[in-house]
Amino acid sequence: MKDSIKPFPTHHEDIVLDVEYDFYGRQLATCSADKHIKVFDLDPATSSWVLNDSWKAHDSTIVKVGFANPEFGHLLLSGSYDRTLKIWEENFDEPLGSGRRWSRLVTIADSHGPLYDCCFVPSFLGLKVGSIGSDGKLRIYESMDPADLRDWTLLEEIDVLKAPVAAHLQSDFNVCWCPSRFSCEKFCVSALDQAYIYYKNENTNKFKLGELLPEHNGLIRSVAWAPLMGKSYHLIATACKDGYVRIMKVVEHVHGPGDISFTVSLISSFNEHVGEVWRVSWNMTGTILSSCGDDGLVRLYKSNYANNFQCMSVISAEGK
Amino acid sequence: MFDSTTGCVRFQSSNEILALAKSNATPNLFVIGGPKSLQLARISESDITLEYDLVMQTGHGRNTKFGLISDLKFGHQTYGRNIAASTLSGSIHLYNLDRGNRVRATLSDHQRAVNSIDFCTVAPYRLVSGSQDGKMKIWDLRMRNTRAATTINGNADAVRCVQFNPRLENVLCSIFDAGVIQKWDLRKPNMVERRLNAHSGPGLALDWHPELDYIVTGGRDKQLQVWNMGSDVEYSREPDHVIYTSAPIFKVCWCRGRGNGSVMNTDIAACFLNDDPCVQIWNLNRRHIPEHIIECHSNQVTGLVWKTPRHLVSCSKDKMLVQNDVLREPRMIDNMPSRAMTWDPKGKLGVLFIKQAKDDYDLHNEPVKVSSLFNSTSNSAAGSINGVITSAVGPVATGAVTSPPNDTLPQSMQSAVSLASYLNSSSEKKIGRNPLSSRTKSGAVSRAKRLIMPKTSPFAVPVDIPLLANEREVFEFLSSSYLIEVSDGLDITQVCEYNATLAASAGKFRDCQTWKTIRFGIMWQYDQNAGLPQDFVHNESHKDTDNHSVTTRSQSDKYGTSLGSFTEESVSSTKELSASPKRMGILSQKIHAEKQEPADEQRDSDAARKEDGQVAVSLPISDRNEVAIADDEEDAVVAFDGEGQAKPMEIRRPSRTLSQLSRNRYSFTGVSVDLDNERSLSAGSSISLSGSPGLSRMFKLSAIKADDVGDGLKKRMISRRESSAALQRESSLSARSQLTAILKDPQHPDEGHPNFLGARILISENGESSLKVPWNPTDLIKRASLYSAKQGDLVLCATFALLFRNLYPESMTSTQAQEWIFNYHEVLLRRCLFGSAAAVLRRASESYDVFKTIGQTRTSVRLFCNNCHNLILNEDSKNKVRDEDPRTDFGFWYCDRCGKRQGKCAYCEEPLKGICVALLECGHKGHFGCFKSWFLEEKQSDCPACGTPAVRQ
Repeated sequence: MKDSIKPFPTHHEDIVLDVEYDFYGRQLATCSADKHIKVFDLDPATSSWVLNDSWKAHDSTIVKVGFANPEFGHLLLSGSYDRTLKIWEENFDEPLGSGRRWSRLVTIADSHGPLYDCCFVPSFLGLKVGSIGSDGKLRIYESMDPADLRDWTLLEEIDVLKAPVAAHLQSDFNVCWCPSRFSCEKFCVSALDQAYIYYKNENTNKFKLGELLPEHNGLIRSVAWAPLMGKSYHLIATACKDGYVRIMKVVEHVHGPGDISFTVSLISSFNEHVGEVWRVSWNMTGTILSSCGDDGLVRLYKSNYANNFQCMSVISAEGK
Repeated sequence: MFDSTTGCVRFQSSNEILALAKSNATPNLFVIGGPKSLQLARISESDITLEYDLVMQTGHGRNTKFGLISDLKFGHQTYGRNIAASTLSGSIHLYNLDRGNRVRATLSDHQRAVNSIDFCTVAPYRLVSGSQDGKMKIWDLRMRNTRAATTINGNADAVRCVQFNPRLENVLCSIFDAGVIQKWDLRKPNMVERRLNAHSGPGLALDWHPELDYIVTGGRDKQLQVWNMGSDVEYSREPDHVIYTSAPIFKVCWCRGRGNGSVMNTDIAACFLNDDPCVQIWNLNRRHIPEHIIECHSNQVTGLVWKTPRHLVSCSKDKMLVQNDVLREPRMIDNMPSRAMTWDPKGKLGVLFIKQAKDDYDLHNEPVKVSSLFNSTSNSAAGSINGVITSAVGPVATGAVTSPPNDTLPQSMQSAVSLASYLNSSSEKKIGRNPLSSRTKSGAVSRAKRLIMPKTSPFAVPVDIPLLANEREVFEFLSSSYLIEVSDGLDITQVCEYNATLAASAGKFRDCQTWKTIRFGIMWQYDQNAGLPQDFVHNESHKDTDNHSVTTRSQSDKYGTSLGSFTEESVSSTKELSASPKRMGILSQKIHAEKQEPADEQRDSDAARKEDGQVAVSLPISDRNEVAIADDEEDAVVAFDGEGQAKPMEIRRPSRTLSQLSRNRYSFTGVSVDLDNERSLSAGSSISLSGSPGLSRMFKLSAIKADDVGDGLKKRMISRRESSAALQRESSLSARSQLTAILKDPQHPDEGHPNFLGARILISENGESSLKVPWNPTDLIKRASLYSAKQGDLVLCATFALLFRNLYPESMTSTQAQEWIFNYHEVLLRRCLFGSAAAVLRRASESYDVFKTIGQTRTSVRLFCNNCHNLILNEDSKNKVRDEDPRTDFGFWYCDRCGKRQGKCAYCEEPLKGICVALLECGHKGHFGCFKSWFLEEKQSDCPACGTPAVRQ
């Protein structure tokens, strides 16, 4: 393609754990184990990514970054193993590359263990942030006052794990909201080798445990909820340490207000990655699933006419 | 408690454990100290047993005097059975294990708490203690008295940790509350040998490397610093290595016996002062990710000792004494993803992932700094790869003066690893190899210089997935051009036709066919309705076409005309698409020939316009064809580009007339011909294939219609069913073969949509008066929109939703429609197509409250007074005005608070309303008339408000 962009070095000093576009695809944030966040701007003239700023954001490995919907401002969320969640705002008065370009709005340090995942909740639900750490508690924060983004209140604290994590275990936690605007608020949260669907009971306004996603034989590394796109069922993909990418079909039965049940069935699983699978994610329209694993390849899956998912292509970074 | 899977041994003591020491003489013997206890423990591979209680004995007289233990140490060599215990009360108790639990001596010279004690390895009778009072005292255990042999006054600061150099009898290092490290030689107790401002907060821990002259220190500032304390090195003001950890460091400890030849290979265990009760094991090779994090305690870890190279013993305030097998602990890096990846947010098919190798970092931060020693040693080896390796171990070599034999082993071990990674990075290899450049560097050693780039920095790799639907231009063109509402002067079929042409011109021939098929379906339905008795028509049309004004008015003759004109249009468009420009002339003739039927006004004007269009378009096409022969591909791209750029921001106004539309259409068809030339033959051929069935179907339909008008319902039904069968066959052959393939697939997931036969039965059960045919628009739209949604074609399914949801409520559920529109709107926003997004939103808000809310809430603009800089609320006057007349529209052109008007004309200072003129230079606005008189009549060239030059000569 004409506007394709060449690979570029991020100049992080250690591995990059997450990379995220902003809403318009004009900025790219990377976070790394070297405690730094880097933000790159897309230069439309040359179609290249130019470093906007790089700064030491946390005291430990940063596991997640995420941009908020621009309707709330130019906000960046980061979560780290140092147990804190920070929200940053770009300060356009500061020069690029000064290390001060992004000013910290708030530090949230409620977790009793390293954070493993955090994300902005889909924007139609308000300016909210969900996070989960190794203490097994999912916390949801909301900024009530749009004029004061420094003020975040803890809305929910859900014990996903009944007992705290056993000490030496390697662990992983993930949370992913259902991106559909037109069904009740739901999210899928994984803790170690279990993944659950929670939904918001519209009567009590509390989250309730909906269903367990079956068949996982190892730590779940990533969960991704596909956009609904008018389908009568939801799709959730998981990446698991046992080497499988799984696609679950979740059918939602609404019996009445606040009374919802789910039937979950496994529709596809792939273990083409040699070794662990680290990440799954859906594209914007929920038609293509991508996964990446220890083999260094990115695989794309697409459903065929018979609605079976198939590996569509394999992207390798080797070569030049 | 022994856990065989992890090799972890745990022991629960009855007291908090505050200090821990390992016997240097007896293996596996440890002493642990609590608030009022001092116990000997034996730690084997799989078991911990309490051996002996030194203090906690009933009736022990000294219990009361015994303070909180702060540090414990075993003596060396001849003093190997001696234990020293320092307390917070300022005394040091000495025990000799050979003499039972009796305190051999109590040294209480310190005024305040003793924080740290250490025996000298080389001169085992020497004991040093560092106290809160800022003094370090050296005790000679051979002396009987309890006075210190030497007292060193550091400074006023409390000594946090003090330790002898394990290989020298006179050298000790201490770290202070101010973060200062001091190195002392006992022979010169009045003068500090070296003083380093190391930590920015209190320094808390210090440990000498067991074999090299390095110390590692830790402090409240969360840093682990490694300093070269050799006496022959040039003194540096910066630490050799820094590791930034996540918490204030309480204790730090080099691994003993493993990888000791080099500081780079020696693990460092650290525990923290905060509420994070974990032990982290770091390696200088990877300074951002700890090798292991061991979480075995529930309260602050107070002591760390390496029992063996692989066993780490730790004690904690949670009363636990734990031995961990470090080599069996999970590696931290294994829990981290090897890849990161994200989808392009603009709905385009593109991923970006990070190319990196987890283990590539292991050597990347080897300092480029090369010491003087390196220069002397490696000059001989320079030029070869050996030189590189030496440079990598440079700092080791400097420290290894005292023990050169140790240096050889790690070198050879490293070579295998470092060779590969160094070979990959030719540039750095040069730096390492070139003694000249390295010498210049070693002069000024700054931390920044030493932090070289990683060998393989993580690369971000954007990937575009080459699918046809992927193109940005197509999306922008279609999203801006598709009609999403039935505007005045058009009916739905014309909209379909127009959209079909657009799709074709964008190269989406399948979509084009879909639009056309839907159009035929709709036309067929109108046709049906037209033939029915009047009251039935009204029922039907009201049901199906809720607010479709066009259909209800003057039906029968309207359909006649529109049908005719559409036949024609479809002929022209399909032919245009497939035919080569040469045939254009024939075509237009053909069209003229077909136009012989009686024509009303609309028809005439239509035809006239068409002629215009033909004339206008045939020339450029033939022109372009010539060009296309020369440079087919480039021309196509350019032409299309122009289209894509020109169109995106254009919003279709509902008032647009057909003539405009058709002009547009022709300009696009030109492009489509070009695309045809350039692209897949199959696409073009499919059109020519499907064109003819479409036509025949058309004629058939009109024929049926003509018959029907006079005939009864029954007869018509029969004929229709016949024709339906025929059509079904036809359609399965032509462009819809893909769709029918899906429909024939029994496993097709859209359970809610039975196949044709089922649909027919279903509808008739519902009590509909007529049977349902496969091409009834509801069904067609349902299938088409579901298919496009499944393909992720948001433009199409959202356009369907916007256009057809009200007309054919059965074709999609309200949720589906909203979902599509919502997603479409978001993608439009993401792609910055705000014009189209606003149009979509406005259209959608007619039907759905959700979108109305979005439109109202998300587009609010806050106004601030440009005089007093407050948010303009104007609540007072709003309430006043509303009280008088609640319907008054309320403005914010003035500020209640300061009473000033906002946005005044720069010239006359009257409020501006509606369209105004703004000066680009300064942003001041004014009435057109005012600026006219200012700039033209008064011949001014500057802004009337601020004097900025506004008119360029």
